[in-house]
Amino acid sequence: MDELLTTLSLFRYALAGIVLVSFICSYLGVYIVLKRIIFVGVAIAQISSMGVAFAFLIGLPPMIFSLLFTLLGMLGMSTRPGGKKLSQESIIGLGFIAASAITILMMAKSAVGLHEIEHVVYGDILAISPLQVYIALGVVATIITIHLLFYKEFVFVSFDYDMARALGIKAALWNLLLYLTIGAAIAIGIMIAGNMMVTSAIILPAINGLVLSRRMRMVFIISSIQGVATATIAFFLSYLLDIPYGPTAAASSFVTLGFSFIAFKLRG
Amino acid sequence: MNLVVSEANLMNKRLIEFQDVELGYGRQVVLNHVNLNVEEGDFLGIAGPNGSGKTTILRALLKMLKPRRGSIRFREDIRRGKMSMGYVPQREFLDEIYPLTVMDVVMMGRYASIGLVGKPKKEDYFMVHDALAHVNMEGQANTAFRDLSGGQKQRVLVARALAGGPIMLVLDEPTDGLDIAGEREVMELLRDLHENHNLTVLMVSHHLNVMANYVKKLAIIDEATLHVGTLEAILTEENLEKIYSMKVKIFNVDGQKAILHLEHGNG
Repeated sequence: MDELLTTLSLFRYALAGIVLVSFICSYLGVYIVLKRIIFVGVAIAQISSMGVAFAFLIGLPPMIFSLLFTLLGMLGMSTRPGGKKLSQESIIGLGFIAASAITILMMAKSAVGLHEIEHVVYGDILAISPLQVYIALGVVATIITIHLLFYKEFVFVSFDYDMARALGIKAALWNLLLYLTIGAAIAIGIMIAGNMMVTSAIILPAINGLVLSRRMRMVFIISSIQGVATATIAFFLSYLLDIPYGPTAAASSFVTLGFSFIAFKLRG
Repeated sequence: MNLVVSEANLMNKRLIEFQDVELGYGRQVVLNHVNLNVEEGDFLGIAGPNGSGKTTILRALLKMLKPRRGSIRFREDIRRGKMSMGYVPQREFLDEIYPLTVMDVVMMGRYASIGLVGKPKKEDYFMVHDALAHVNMEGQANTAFRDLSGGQKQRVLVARALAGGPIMLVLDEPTDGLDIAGEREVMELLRDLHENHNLTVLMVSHHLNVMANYVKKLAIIDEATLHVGTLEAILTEENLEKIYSMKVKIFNVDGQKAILHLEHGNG
């Protein structure tokens, strides 16, 4: 017990950061899964990492560049540069591969050194500063306020874009706002918890919510609770077993999803 | 004096007026010289071969596409947003992965009235239940939308359009993907709404056999041009043969029209 309290005290910022990131990513993940843009999320996470690597290369604050690259990536993914010749998937694949390769190349050429910045690019929860947590708190609070206020607008434009337009609702603007909030959540998540944790947090809890519930609001609630719970459990497992956090978070979420599928099958 | 009154009434009855409109996307012209009037009380069908521009007209009518030339005029109450058009999109475009109930879906028809940040009030729930009653789905409010049959889903989408209290229903391929029972179910519902509830109905469909037995006015697209008239004037074997480039025969069976295409040479 004493050991646990000491751990909590030592890593309180890390834990706070994980709770914030897992909550917002698993909440917004419901839209990512419902809108069938999972690979956009994965590619955006990689582009966000590229922003961090770029910031290290030129010696500027990584958080700003993580956010900037994410927003530019979101914008790029929403266009169709190849017209009808190229599918949206091709653009996403291109973005993912290019971002992965460029990130590693920039890390290799960075003056700080590959191993030092690898932790930051791919997330090092133990290196989280109080300032990063406060910034994350601000971003998460803003995003969740927007989403609670405009829940019905986001669900409507996601489910039936044309009908929303026909009713005079500015569907393109709501869609853009939705993508921007997703982008901001991914960028902040990458900085705090790393690529693998964010990628799993935007996909697995949402799938879990959809498996367990047939009501929209419940899906958001289940996804958020599962996201935070597995990310927190993974934090302690990672500490106790001395294993990397990102893969532990992804594996924990995956195991939870497995139990959900079993529960779903048993329920019939 | 009488003449002035009747002219005013006529103007008042005109909901939408397309005047020499050209529609298209980018550099591509889809339709040109479109002249179309939608009057209050119309049951109008827009037909044409696949890709001819039926949905393009619908998008222009719903203010989702601006005309490249010409003008689209709306009656004052529609233009000012006091009266709305109830849009029923193609059912296939709605993703079944969304865990929405029938109530959730129909309530969307009220969102324009509820406004930003607002939550549904008692009046909105009343309108939703009333709309569901109109389409005989009042007992299904808590059923998952995705669990319904094709015909039921279509009725729910009509209810969603009705929930906004529209002056006119605009439907995109309402019978697409339905079996004959579903087709009949949806078209009888539209007939009922038109005849007994004075709703103006405009539908786009490539199912000529369906339209032939329900609509009163028909607009048909032939080589980027829209021809409008009464059903009898437009739906002739000669017109259909020209538009679809095949032998066509229109039969009358027990008061129902049936359109059959014949093989070449079988004339």
